[in-house]
Parts: sequence; C-alpha cells; structure tokens
Amino acid sequence: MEAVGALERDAELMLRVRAGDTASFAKLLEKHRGPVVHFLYRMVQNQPVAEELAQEVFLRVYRSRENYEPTAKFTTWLFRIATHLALNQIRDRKHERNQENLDEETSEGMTRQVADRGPNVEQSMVRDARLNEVRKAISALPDKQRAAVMMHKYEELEYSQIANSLGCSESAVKSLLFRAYETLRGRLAHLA
Amino acid sequence: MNCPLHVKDGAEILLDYCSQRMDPDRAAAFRLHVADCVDCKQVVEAQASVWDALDAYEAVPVSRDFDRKLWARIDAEDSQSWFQRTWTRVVGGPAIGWSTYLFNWKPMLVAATACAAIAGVMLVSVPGQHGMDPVADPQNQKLMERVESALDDIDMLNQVGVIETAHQGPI
Repeated sequence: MEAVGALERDAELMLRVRAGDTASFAKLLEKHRGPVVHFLYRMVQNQPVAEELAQEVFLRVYRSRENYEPTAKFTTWLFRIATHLALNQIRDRKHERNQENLDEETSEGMTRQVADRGPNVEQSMVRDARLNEVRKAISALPDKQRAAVMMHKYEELEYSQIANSLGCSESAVKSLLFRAYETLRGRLAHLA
Repeated sequence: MNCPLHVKDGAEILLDYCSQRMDPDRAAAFRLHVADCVDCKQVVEAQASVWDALDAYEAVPVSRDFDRKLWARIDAEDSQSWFQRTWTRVVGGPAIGWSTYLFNWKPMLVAATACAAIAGVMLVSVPGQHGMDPVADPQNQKLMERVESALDDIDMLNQVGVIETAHQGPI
C-alpha cells in the first residue's frame, strides 16, 4: 500500500510539474537522484559519466513535462530513459575502444568506494578485492543482462517495469535475469 | 511441490524466492522443498552468496553540486530560442555519444520528410506568378492570341503559295 501511495505521489508531482510547478520537480529530483545515479554508475562504472547521464535523464524528464501523461509508473519511465542512455554510452565506449581497466579506476572513484569501515588495513584490502571481483563480474555481463540485474537487485523494479525499460517481454526479462544470476553464481560463488 | 529446476516456469520461482519477493505462504512451501532437494538447495545457497556480494557493491555518493549543475542546464535551455532548443533536442547534449546521435536521427528524418512533402505540395499547387491561373492571365492571353493570329496568317499565306519553306513545299 505504501509503495502504491509513493508511486501515485510521483505521478501527482509530475502532473504539478506539467502545470509549471518547479518545486515539485525539485522533490522528484530529491527522491530519485540517488537511485538513478547509482544505477548509471553500476552500468557505466564511471562516476562523472554516470552523473552526466543522470543529468540528461532529468533534463529529458523536464523537457517532456508538458506532454506528461501518467500512463505508466514514473519510475518505469525514468529508468527507461536511464537504460537507453546507459546502453548507448556503453556501446559508444566499445566503439571507441575505451574499455576501462578496473585496476586503473580513477582515484575519485576508488576514494569514494572505499568506506572507512574499520581500522584493519588487511580487512580493507580483502574488501576492495571482493568489490573488484563483483564489479568485474557485473561488467562482464552482456549489456541487457547487466541492466536487468541492476534494476532487479538494486532498484527492486517489478518484472513489468524492467521489461518496459528494456523494450522486451516479461518472460524475456525473467530469462535475462535467470541467465545473468546463473553467470554471477559461477563467477562469485568463491566469495562465499 | 515440483522441483522448479525441472519445470517450465521454475526460473521465476527461484528468482522470486532468492530476491525475497515471494509471498510468505509460497515461500514457506518452497523452503520445505529446498530442505529435501539437493539441486535447489545448491542454487539457493549460491544465489544467497551472489546477493551478499552484490550488496557489497555500494552506492557512491552523488556530487554535492549535481542539482546546481542540472538547474543551470535547465535555465540555459529555457533561455534559448525555439530553434536552439529544437536543435539541442535533435542533436543531443555534450554527454551524448555518436550512437545516441544516431538514435536521434529519426526525428531529423521525419522533419526532413515533412519539409520535402510540404515543398512538393507547394510546387504542385503553387499558382502563377501573380497568384492567377496562367491560362487566365491577361498578358498570357494576349500573347496566345498573337501566336494564334500569326499561325493563321502563315496558314493563309501558305494556302496562297506565298511562303516557301526550306524544303520547297508548303508548311
């Protein structure tokens, strides 16, 4: 019930944005900024690019405000835009042959990822190594499988929402997820 | 309960259970099955490890100036002319790569087709220079009358044998 209420609030806020209320857009931004940036970061694995893409997502939402109709959930629409931009960015990087070496992650990115959880250096190193394994495993997934996992695991979207974002059927989404998790089980089981 | 690994839609059952999206009654029934099924137990335990590993992939904090930059872009766009805004929407912003540019070619193609269609309609339906039917234009009418008169004169002269053509015969 709470989730349904939240979704209705999103649609209500967006309708107010349509009517010219920029404060409502600020509320939507406050609520969804984090999840969108985090989703894009996990997809493109580059924080500055993820934020640039996230800005483009919200810019497109703002541009479309006058034509907004609450036919689908707001988050579905949001992540459909985000997924398209992320997949395009990944394709662009592949074409430019600009695959990042995960060992040479930007200092900004590494600094942000290493949380000061404890004083033990060895623990931090183990944690960083584990994190790198996870990032490599996710990075190695095919683009759509990666996107499906990100939306399923981190954003907790429903199958129908993921299907809408990826432009495929629900059964295709379930198949994508099953294969993705099967692959991840093979690559990450040793971390147990 | 039939083993999900051996039924058609079993993947969904495993997915829902491992991601804790299964309703409590079904989850309880599935737990009983897992206790007796070695294969399912293996998958569920491995998936739990994957879930824990993915949890370790923590979110990176968003930059403090994210909102400021976004509003600056919105304000900049709002202050643009209609043409500039349309161009930006068609071509894309600085973060957009070539494949997104290509993704945006569709509206450009539609716009070009529409312009070509409009131009074609205008070419077909455009009236004469002064907005009148060329045939009804008085100047053209006078010219046509003169031509007809000249042809009649030639015909008459030909009949009386006055005009000789280069081929030594009447026209």
